[in-house]
Amino acid sequence: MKSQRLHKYILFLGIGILTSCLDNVSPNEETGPEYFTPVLSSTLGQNDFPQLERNPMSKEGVLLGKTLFYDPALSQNGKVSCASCHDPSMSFTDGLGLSNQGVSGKPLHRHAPPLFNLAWHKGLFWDGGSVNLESLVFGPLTHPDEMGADLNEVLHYLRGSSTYPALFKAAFKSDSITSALVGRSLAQFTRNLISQDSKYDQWKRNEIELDDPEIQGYQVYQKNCSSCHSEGLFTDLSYHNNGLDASYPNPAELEGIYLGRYRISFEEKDRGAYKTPSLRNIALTAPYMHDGRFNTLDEVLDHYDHGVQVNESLAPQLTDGIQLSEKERSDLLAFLNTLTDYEFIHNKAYQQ
Amino acid sequence: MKNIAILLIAILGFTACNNNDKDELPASMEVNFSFAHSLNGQALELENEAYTLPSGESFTPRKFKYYISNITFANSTNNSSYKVEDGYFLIDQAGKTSFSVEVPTAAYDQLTFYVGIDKSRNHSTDQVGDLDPNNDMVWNWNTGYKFLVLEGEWEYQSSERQGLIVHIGNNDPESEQNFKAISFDLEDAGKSLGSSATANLSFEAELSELFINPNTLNIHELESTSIMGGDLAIQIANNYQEGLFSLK
Repeated sequence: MKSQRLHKYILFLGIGILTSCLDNVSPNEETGPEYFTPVLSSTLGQNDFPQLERNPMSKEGVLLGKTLFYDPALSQNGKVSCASCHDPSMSFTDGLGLSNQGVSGKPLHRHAPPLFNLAWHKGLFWDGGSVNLESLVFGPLTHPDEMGADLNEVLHYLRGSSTYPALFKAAFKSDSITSALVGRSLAQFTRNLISQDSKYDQWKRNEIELDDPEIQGYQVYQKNCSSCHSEGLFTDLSYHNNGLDASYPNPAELEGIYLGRYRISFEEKDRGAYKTPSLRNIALTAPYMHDGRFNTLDEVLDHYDHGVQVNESLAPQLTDGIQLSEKERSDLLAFLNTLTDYEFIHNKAYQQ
Repeated sequence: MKNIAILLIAILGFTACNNNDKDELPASMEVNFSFAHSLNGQALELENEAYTLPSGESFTPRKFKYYISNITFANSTNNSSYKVEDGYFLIDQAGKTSFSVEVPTAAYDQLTFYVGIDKSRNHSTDQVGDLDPNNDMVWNWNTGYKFLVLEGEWEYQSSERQGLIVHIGNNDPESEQNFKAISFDLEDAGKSLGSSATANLSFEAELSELFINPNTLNIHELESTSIMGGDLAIQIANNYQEGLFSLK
């Protein structure tokens, strides 16, 4: 009797081990992807986390997206991944003004934007030309000066890989690997990059205190910056001409790249207008502006102090520039430094 | 009892007869669409240098492709119609220039199709089939599909060769700008449907029509021959709605 029971236990144990092995190969094949909604800090100022009905986030989808994000084999020469220009240690930008790190080695015309809190962005890219992450990812993936990928070759690589088919199956319950699913999984990973644990957030949640210069800098921010860099996401997600240039060249081969939002909207007010970048993690995201022309925050503040170029589409808030005293400036910089989110840049879940 | 049996046999007989009648035409017909392209009356061949644009430039085409979608067959007598759902077809001078659709068998004397992609499908590109983003028809700096693409090189009176890039899509997500309906009277063309199980509709697209009627574009006088939106794109879209396609 006793030995019979023992046999049964061993049998159960064996089944348990087998099952767990199978689970490793294809997680949740029985139950399907585990869908989730990220938990948000009140300090983001957002009531909900927008997702696309056709592409709800799942743990498996995010994992697949992360694997693709860090995989240089997707690129034409096998050397450039998304992370090459979107490095987690710099809140997913690259520290370069106009990168020449793409497959062609030619410099780009826009600065790689940091990636966080993207779920709330109605327009993506500096000019808002792309309207959802699912579609955006094909831009950098196929651009000849970025990853230069041929999507048919990407699919051929993924289908022939020893790991990807199981990841796709787990994420989308599908045996077929398509461009659309590549886009959706990368969208899930990037939509899940949420920065909400800076010193500022902790202060707002009454978890810590800020020192005097930081608090005074917060007031300088509120008075001078918050009309565009709205508190919460620290961007109004809108487009403004902040007076970088008086006029905009338009060479045919560059498809209106210097015209700003105008090339998308064809509205005069959008000439030279770009999306307000978030001030979150700003200490990590130099150089600044859509073309990375300013190397330091002091240069940015110098521009607003006396460098604004006036033309018809200039944001009305900037007609007279923004003049700060030396103390106001140093307080403001102290406050801006509280917006660095070390939890975010060290979050292992976002890294390879 | 006997009477009932006779009645039943009679009914069965009638039904059988009816079935026989219907068997002549299946429940659905296959309609084959094919597209031939010409420029200034000559059959289009990519990389061939022999063409002249309406405003006098010599032109070498390199790419010509467009989407046909939202195909609807209609009967103008009884006001019935049938729309091909989820039908998005890429026509490519360098690739596929024909497709087939299944249509419930009935008499149709009108046809409408659109050039381009409707709003419900144009705001995302994570799609499959002919809308797969690997078809070189999605923008890499914008979201959505190029409805019609013509690329090539032109020169005028020994000027320098320059690129002509025509990428027509939609710049205004709220509207369906440049998404154009094109209607054909099948009866006038002697192509009314409903009398056979397969029908062939052969269309010709004359590329000159992109630059004339109702809007005239003088290529060598344009500030830029890279047309990717704005007013010039709208003018070209109005031109393709007017006379680009004819049913042969």
